[in-house]
Amino acid sequence: MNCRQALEYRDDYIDGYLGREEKVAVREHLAGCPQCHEAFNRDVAMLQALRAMPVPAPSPGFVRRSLQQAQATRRWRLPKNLAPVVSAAMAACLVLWLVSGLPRMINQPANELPTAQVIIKINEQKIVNVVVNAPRDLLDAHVTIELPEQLEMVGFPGKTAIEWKTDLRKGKNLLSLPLVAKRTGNVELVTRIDHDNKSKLLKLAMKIHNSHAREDLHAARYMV
Amino acid sequence: MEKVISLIQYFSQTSEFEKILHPYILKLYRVAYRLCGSAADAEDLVQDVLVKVYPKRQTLGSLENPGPWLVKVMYRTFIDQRRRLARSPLHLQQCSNDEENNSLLESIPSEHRGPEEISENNQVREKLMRAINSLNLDQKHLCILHDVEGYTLNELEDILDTPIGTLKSRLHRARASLRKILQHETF
Repeated sequence: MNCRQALEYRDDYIDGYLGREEKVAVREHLAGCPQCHEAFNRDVAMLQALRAMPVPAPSPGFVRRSLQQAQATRRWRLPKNLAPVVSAAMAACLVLWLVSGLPRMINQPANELPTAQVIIKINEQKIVNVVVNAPRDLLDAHVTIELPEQLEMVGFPGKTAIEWKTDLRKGKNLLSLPLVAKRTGNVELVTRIDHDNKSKLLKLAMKIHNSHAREDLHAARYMV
Repeated sequence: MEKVISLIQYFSQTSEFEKILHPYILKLYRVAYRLCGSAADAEDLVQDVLVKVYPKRQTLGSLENPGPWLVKVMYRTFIDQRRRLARSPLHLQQCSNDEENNSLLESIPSEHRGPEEISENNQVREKLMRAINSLNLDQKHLCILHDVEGYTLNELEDILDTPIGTLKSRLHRARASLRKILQHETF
C-alpha cells in the first residue's frame, strides 16, 4: 500500500469501517511511513477534540419536567372508553383551576381582551411589540395579523392579513410588528391566535394623526 | 370494573413511558444542543419530541434500542421546525430573563487547568465550532451526529433516511473541509 491509498482509507480506518485485510494493510503502511502516521494521528486528535466539545447542563429539573409536560399535554386525549370515568374528576379540577385564577385557556368562541392604544403619526415607522403569554406550549398555532387599510406592515406592501403557523412556547412570546401608518384615522390592529379549534383575539387601538406621536415602543400583553 | 382496570392500565403506561424515556433524555438534549446551538432551543426541541412520542409509547416499549429511533424523531422534528421557520413571514421570539450561557467557550472551566490552558482550549473549541458551522447543513448535521455524538453510519442511514454510500462520501467531504480549515491548529 502506498501513501495515496493509505490516505484514501484514513476515514474508514479511523472510524473502524475497514475490513480485516485492509486494516492490516493500512497498519503496516503506517508503521513504515512517519508522514502518514502523523496525518492519521492528527485526524484522531481532531475527532477527539470534536467529541470533547462541551454542552451546558440543561436547566434544573429539566428531565422530570419534560417527562411530566409530555404526559400532561397528551393525557387529556383519553381512550374513548375511559373518558366517562375520568370526566367527573376532570370537571372538579377544572373548577378549582378557574377559581384559582391561573392563566386562562383559549376559549371558544374567539375571546377578546381589553384593548390597548398606540399613537402613531402618518408615514412614521413604529415597532409594535405584541407579547403572547401562553399557559403551555402550543404547537402548530395559527397566527393571523389583520391590518386596517391605514396601516402597512414593513415588507408586506398592500397586505391586509398576514397569517402563518408557528409554535408558541409556554410563557412570553414576543412578536415585533414593524408598522407604517399610511393614512390618518382611528383603527384597530388585530392579532388572532388559533389553536385546537380555539381562538384568542387581541385588538389594539391605534390613533394615526399628522402631528407628533409618542416615540416610545408599545407592548400589548395578553394571555392565550 | 373493566373501566377501572383500563384506567389503571392507562396510567401505568404513562409511568412506563417515564421509565423507558428517562435514560435517553440527557442524550437527546446533547444532540439537540449540537443541532440548535442554544440550551433553551435544545430543551424546547426535546420537549416537542417527548410530546410527539408519547402516543407511540407502546412502539417505543417494543424497541430493543430506542436511542436511534428517538434521535430520528428528533432530527425530523428539528428539520420540520427549521422549514416552518423559514416559511414564517414574522418570527415569534421567546422572552426570557434567564442569562443563558450560549457560549461553548464559557462552559468548560476546569479546576485542574490554569488560565492559559483554559484560554488555549477555548480558542481551539471556538475554531472547531466555526469549522463545523462553515460546513453545508447536510455535512454539518452528519458531522455532529457521527463525529461528535458517535452514531454509526448504519444508524445514521435510518436516522437521516439517506443511503450509506451517500453518507460516506458526505462524511469524507466534511472531514476534508475540516482538515483544511483546521490545518494549523494543535489539538
